[in-house]
Amino acid sequence: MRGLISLLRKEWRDIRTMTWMYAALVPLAMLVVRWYLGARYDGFVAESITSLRHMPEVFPVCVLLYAALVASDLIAGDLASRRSEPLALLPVGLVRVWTAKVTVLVGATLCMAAWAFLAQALTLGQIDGWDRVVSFAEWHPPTLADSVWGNIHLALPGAAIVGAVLLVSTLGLRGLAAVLLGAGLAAVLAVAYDFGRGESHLIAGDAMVWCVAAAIAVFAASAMAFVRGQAHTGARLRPALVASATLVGLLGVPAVGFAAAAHHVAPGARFTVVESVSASPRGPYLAVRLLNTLDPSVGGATFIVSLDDGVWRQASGDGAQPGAWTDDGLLPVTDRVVDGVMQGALIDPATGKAARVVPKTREQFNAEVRARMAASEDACYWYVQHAPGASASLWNVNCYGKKRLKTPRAVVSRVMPTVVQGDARARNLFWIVPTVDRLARLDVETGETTAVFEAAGRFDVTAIAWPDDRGVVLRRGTDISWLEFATGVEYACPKGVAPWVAIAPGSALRRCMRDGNVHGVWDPVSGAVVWEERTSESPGGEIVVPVCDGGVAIVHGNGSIRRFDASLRPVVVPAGGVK
Amino acid sequence: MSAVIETRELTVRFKKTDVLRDLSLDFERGSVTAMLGRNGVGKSTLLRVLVGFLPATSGRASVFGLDAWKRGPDVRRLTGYVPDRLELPRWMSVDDHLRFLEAFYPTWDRDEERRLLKQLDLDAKAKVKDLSKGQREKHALIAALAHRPELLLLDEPFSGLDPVVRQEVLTAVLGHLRDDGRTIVVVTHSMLDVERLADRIVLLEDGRVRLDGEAEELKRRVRRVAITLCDGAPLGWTPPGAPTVERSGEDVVLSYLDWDDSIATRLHADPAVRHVASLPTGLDDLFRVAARREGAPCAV
Repeated sequence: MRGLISLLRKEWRDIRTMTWMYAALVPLAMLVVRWYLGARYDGFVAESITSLRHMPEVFPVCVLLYAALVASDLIAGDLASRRSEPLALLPVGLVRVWTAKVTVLVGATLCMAAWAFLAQALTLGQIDGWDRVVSFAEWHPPTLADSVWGNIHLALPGAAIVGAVLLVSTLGLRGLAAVLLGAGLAAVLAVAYDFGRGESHLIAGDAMVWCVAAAIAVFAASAMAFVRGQAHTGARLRPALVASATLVGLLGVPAVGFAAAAHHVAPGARFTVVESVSASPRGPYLAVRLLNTLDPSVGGATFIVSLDDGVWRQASGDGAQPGAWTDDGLLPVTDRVVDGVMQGALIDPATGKAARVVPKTREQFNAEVRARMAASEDACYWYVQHAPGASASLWNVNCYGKKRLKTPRAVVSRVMPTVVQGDARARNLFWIVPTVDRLARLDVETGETTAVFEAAGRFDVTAIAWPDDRGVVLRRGTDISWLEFATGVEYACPKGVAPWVAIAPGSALRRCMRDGNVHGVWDPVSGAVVWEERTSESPGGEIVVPVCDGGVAIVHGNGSIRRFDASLRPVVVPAGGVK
Repeated sequence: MSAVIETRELTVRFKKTDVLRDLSLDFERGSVTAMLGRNGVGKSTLLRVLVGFLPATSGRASVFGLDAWKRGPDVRRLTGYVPDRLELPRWMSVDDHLRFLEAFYPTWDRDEERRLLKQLDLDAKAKVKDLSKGQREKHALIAALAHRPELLLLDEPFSGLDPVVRQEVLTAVLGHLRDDGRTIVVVTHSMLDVERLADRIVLLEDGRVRLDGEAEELKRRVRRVAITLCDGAPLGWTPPGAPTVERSGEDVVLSYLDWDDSIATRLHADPAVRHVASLPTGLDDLFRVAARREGAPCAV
């Protein structure tokens, strides 16, 4: 025990100077980050800094970098400089020596984490007012654990970085050189992380493998080249080994981020776009088909979004194609691979699971669908929503047969007393046709079109949908827009927002309308004000924006609510307008 | 006397190179042994195996009857080891390091530590980073001796000491230990140290024992003679006894590692040899002859 204490004291003394210096730098780093974020984002508010989830780069990087530097000094530095030899020559087993090193490494890292946490609170108090610190202190304990757990995936690229630091420090760099190296590595991490900012791609399966491989490569190279303080590899091999391991260590993380992003199809992912959106005829659900733009061969993925709670459920795996909603509210998907066999299924939107598996091959399933479509030629499925006292009563219509329109498109109808119909991809053309007894007259060939609304040139529309009450989801490049047919006003989010955002305030509106509080929502300006004032965050990454009394709109993206809010603006569409 | 150190067919291999080959040696209690040999023949490696720092590839090495690798901590508790280089954290002072070590050795003797510090004139408050090479060697020696080890393994411990201090360390410190019955194994390239200290010499070559014996006996076995050949001596004349051969002007110097008097008789009787003269010989010659014997030309 006496020996262990002596070892602990010695190890602590080894890193003491570096630790004090680092501890002094942490608040400085916090200040710089706070200043940077405040200068970059107009809407940056103090609450944001209290949430580690909103700036996950700072805290883990601070702590991981410190852990890397300590490990660099206690482990790699000892090995490289032969300082490990006197330890190995002590009359104790190596287990005790390493126990002391690991104990000091873990203990010091935890202490530094606590100090970084405290420094963040102090920064907050100094810049944003000490009253913030109170809410920060009250709010953080659960959030801290939540955040650490939520960012646990950073441990993997972190391991690669720790490995790189160990390797380079094993080459003999310590002290200031190690700190500079750490700063460089932190920059690499930031770039890599920012690359996949839409969502943390580093947690994806491929990324995990890459990160682990990178860390192992670096550690292995370090061990092979410098075990026991002297090179046992050949003089020619050693530089190549060191160089390649360094490259793997330094470039591995951004490479992983890029590779993961390039092969990732998920809401909010950087290279993911909406291919199609269609609304369920029953219940507040959207079927959203996503595609990877960077690598189309990756295929797409189909998700079902609940407009009530904002939950996204994947309805099928990569490559599966969604069909049109059935009249009983199920979503058919094809090319679904189960146990290696392709099959179709009807997905229950409430669970995201197959309510009925079409017990056949894809060909059989397609034949069945074709037969069904043939039997229901010219049939339309519709869902009518009546809003008491409202001038706008909306429904959705899905058609098969001759009137079935190719995806991506959605049929949007509006009774006032007309039906709005749009072909999203072809021309961005919308037209209004009359209805008879509240049923849409979709047969445009009859020439009963009463008005044409064309927004070509303003919109690069990828998808259009009318989820039961109000919203039209559009897409223009990386911007998101939605158009309100009732007023002809477009809402736009500028670039920088998450790659795509589906806005579905239908449910909220429905409730508002039910409660007779419709006016405020229909007014785009007052609606925007309401949104801005009543933002809050919901679990699971979705941002729930309350509108009206108890209603919600779901904005799914990458935690971009503050930027979203700050830039929300109405744009008057100079089009033919609704007649 | 019983053997404090035993090695049996000890082989240590780094990659494909055998650094030690089938080494079988005994070191008796109270003996002072000098390990000689050219650089890279395995002297330091042997000491590292003995303190449990390196494992044997095959064979075995035991110290105080304990397996040196498996019982390394126990062996090191009883052993004082001075490595060829001692790297310590730069923040440490001499006293910091000694206090650090003290926690691991139940037999640590502070009086002995103070005595050695005084005898070797080393400031305990001095930072390790500020020590000269000689001071670092003194420091390492004190660290190895202060816990009063039964066995002392020294890996070139005197190379940085000036002649005065060297003499002092050899006679006052190590001489005292020898008289105290401690076992000492010292790796050195200095024949002066060997002559002053060692009563046994082990000369390693290529991982094997080339010579092993009492110092005086080995000195007797080494002989250098200068001969002058007759004008009519044949080209390629071969001297008796397989010595190493050097030309020195018109003379030829023959160095023998296993000299016996019959060689002198044969040289005098050889008609090609005009004159034979003995040259002064010391342990330096032992090392030089042994080192150069391999591959040296035997013909004149």
